[in-house]
Amino acid sequence: MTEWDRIPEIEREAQQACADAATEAALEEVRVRYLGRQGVIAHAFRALGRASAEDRPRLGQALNALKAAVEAAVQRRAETLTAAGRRARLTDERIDVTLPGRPLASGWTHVLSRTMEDIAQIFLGLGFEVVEGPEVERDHDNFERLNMPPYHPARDAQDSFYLGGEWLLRTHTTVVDVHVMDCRRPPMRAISYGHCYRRDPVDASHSPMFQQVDGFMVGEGVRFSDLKGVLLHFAQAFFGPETRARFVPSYFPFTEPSAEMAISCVICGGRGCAVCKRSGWLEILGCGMFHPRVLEMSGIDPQRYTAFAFGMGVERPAMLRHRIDDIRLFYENDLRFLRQV
Amino acid sequence: MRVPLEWLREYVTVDVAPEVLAERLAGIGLPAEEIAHVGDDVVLDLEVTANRPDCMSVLGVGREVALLLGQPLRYPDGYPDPRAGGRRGASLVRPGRRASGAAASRRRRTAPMGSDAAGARATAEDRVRVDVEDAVGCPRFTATVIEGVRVGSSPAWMQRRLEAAGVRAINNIVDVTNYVMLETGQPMHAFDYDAVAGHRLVVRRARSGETLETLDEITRVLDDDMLVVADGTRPVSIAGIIGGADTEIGPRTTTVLLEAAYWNPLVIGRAARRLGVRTEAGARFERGADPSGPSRAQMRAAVLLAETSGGRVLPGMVDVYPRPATPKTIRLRPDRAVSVLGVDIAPREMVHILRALGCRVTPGRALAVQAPTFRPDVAVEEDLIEEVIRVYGYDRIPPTLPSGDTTPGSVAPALATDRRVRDVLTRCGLVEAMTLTLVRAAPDARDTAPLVAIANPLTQDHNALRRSLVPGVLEALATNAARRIADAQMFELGRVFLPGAGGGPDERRSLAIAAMGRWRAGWNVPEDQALVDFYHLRWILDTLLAELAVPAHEVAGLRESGEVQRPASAGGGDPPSLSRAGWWHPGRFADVRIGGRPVARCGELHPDLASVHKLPHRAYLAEVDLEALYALAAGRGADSRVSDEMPVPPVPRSLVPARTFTGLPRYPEIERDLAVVLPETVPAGRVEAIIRAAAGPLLEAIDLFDVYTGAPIPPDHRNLAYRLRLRAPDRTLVAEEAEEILQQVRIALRTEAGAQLRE
Repeated sequence: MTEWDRIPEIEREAQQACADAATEAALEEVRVRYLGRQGVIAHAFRALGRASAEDRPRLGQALNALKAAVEAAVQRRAETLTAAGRRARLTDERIDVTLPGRPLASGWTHVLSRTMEDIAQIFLGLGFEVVEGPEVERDHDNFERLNMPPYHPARDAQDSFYLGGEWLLRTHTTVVDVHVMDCRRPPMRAISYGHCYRRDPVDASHSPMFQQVDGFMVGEGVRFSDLKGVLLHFAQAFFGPETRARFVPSYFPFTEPSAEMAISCVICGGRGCAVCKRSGWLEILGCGMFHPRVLEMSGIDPQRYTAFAFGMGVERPAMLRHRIDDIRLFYENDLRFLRQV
Repeated sequence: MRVPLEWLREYVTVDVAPEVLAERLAGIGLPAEEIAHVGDDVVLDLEVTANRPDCMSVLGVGREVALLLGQPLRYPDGYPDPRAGGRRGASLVRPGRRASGAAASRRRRTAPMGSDAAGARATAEDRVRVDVEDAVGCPRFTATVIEGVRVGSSPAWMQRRLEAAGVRAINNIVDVTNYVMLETGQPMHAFDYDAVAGHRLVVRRARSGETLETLDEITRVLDDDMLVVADGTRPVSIAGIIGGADTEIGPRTTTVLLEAAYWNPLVIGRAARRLGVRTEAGARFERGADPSGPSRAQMRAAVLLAETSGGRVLPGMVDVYPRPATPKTIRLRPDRAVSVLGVDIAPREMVHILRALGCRVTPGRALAVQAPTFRPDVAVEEDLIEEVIRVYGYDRIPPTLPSGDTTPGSVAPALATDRRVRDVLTRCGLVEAMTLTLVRAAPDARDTAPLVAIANPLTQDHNALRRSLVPGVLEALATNAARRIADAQMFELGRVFLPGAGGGPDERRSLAIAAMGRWRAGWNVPEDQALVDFYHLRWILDTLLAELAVPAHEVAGLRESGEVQRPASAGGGDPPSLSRAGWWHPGRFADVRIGGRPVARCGELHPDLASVHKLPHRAYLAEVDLEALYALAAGRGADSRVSDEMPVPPVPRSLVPARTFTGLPRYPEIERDLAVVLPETVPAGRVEAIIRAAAGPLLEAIDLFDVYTGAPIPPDHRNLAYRLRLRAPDRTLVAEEAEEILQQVRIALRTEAGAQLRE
């Protein structure tokens, strides 16, 4: 029995040592002990010279096999230890996922400009041109071109801010219709929106500055029924497909016939509530067929062409959609409000 | 118009509940603002549109109710149905020629209904002389005289009705005039006959500067576009609007001179607005009363006065009516009505509706229609179409979508660009504000630029138009600060107004940004890395300009005086709408220029102003001249206008050209770092410009990653550390080439800026 007979035993011991190594450092010690330059296996290779020539190849093979087996054992153990270590490290990196997120400033458009763009988008889909006009207008365009001569009683509802001379702040975006008609030939359909001004003292539902949307369509055979169809489509696109619309007679000097459109109350669905004053209906818009005088003043033959027109305040639809109860909030610019709606 | 139902029922049987009646009235254009319960009666407060003076009366509303409910209309004593009794009404009052005293006295004496003519010797025409000098302003004037009145209270039923209708009871004479007005829509005015000098009434233009103390005890100054009723010496009432105090009915009045007239609506409307006097009478006349109303109202009043005051109405009404209104015949083509409305209404139904409304209709291929005199709003075919559909029911029109020629939808370029601006600014974390265009023109030493003034402001806080958006957004910061919201980053996109030269105010598109406080928040985020500063603002402006794809811009610091640091040859001054120098921290503001022209100004708010506004942080502001920027984006001159353009159909060109994709790099880059030590007074912008010029086209990007002062850098110097990215588009750059470029850069920095270079 020689030292060579201990080869299987060494392998068993090495395997055991690897298995016992609890850390990467301990395993390194095992590796050095067996596989190092001064290790057990190197030592055995050096002893090979003393073996007889006939035994040497067999013993060499056995030693090589031993070396490979130990290397494999160390390698396997190392992999196990590394994976466990990484697991432990990652476990240590655990965070409290319930801590709040860190916000960046996030921007938001104003609810009124968003509402105007939304409305314009609906009409864009119906083939309307979305256009704009100035806020400072001539009295002539703002009123007379819309069939409201000086001292006309209908001007009372549109008490204006004058800027000296013939200039005033527009009281409605309907005046943009006049500008469009001046530089177009029928057929045409256009919509505009923006700031308007009336001398109304500030309260919960009035502001001297407010927003309006106005649209119109001129063509051969444009009918009141088309006005109803287009506005019903708008109401359902804006307020929801279940919305119903009701038209009742009204008066605007620039339309004949004139109507007001009410929608079924978006709060109570028409059953009656405080917002619709128990009526189930909300007036949101004035409309009608352009008065022949208005078309004539724009050089459009009212016998050949007919036209419908409509106009609405923007605050009210926005208030209804977002359940806002005070018009002053729109212009106060409190960020808590602006970010909510 | 407040309509007590108890009163209404005198003229028409109402067999439906008040709520149902209100609903049905709304359906024909008379919506009730309120259904009020007053005592045991119900009062409908109807919203009457400006075109319906006839519905400013209980009887007028009764006519609409009768039509709705299919009931007959009952006329009151002394006020017969104008159609049935048309001839009779006409026979009572003979139209006169242009008035004069002699003409008036020659007129046929007529006995108003209900007067006790038997014992009368004198007539109204003997007692009063009426001269109408302005027949255009006053097409018709009637007067009656009532003797032996005992002024006192009117009967309880009349007081109750007046008060339910919202008119205060005064005495039995004045109450009758108000009662008749509310009942028939014809305003009347009662004078104390004995106070009328010369017992003479003259309708004439006021003399400029003439004064009259009116019933409301205010002395009014008149102008010569206004009409007055004068007596022998002075005005006694402002025609159609309000009476004078001197001739008021008082307790000692025994003889009443009663006026009922038809006035030109424009004259009344103008005077009422000029004087700021809004009365029930004026409201009816300016909308256009009924020219056949005055005589009928006189007869009705005679009945009531006899009943309530014991007065004796003298026979013979004075009636100056030189050109009696002749009803106009309007053509209504039923097929036109059908094609305008889009609903098939039978011609006979149209005839039925129009007759029920009081029109005379001659059927035919086109209907010949005469509207009643109390409907001045019905003048052309479209008015008749509206009357037909109003009664037929708008709800019976089917909704359709337009047919025939269609047009492609489009968005005006400036509006589409607005949208992109809003997108990019909200991406940068800004919240859009909307502030009032109306501002206070305060003589502020910092900003003395002239504003566009409002001639008739509502309050002195809103007496001018803004010329800059900056004060508004700054105010928004202050509002939030006052509510303990310290982190606020906002913008506003809107119009500013500059006094124009002749052509009205100059209106421009503008943008303002105001930002303060943290742009990132949360736990363990150090405040010094989270606060908005100048460079945060600059990044926003850079991002905006990149989005608009305008030509390259430069940021130029401004000196304390507000003078721009630029060669004198660059030209140009402050862009008109940009805020002036006094706003800014003297060391921290700049212009953003494109091709030498300022398009924006930005910087830190002057700390003095920040403390005036009680801001918790330093605030950063920018104002951008969008009018110029949009023009540049469209490849036009910065001075061309882009707002309010009517784009040329069919599809307008966008103002902002689409940005062009330049391909992804195909060859690797080489990065080299460069540390430059320079006096602090050398602007970084200049260093960057030198680097770019020296490096040439292979320099792809330049990134300043460190700015350092302190040892071992000499005092008043700083170290700027740049990372340069070099790349050739067509080959792999080799290290030697990169080194050569860097060498050029180093030489340029040394020779042009005296820089020391650190390894």
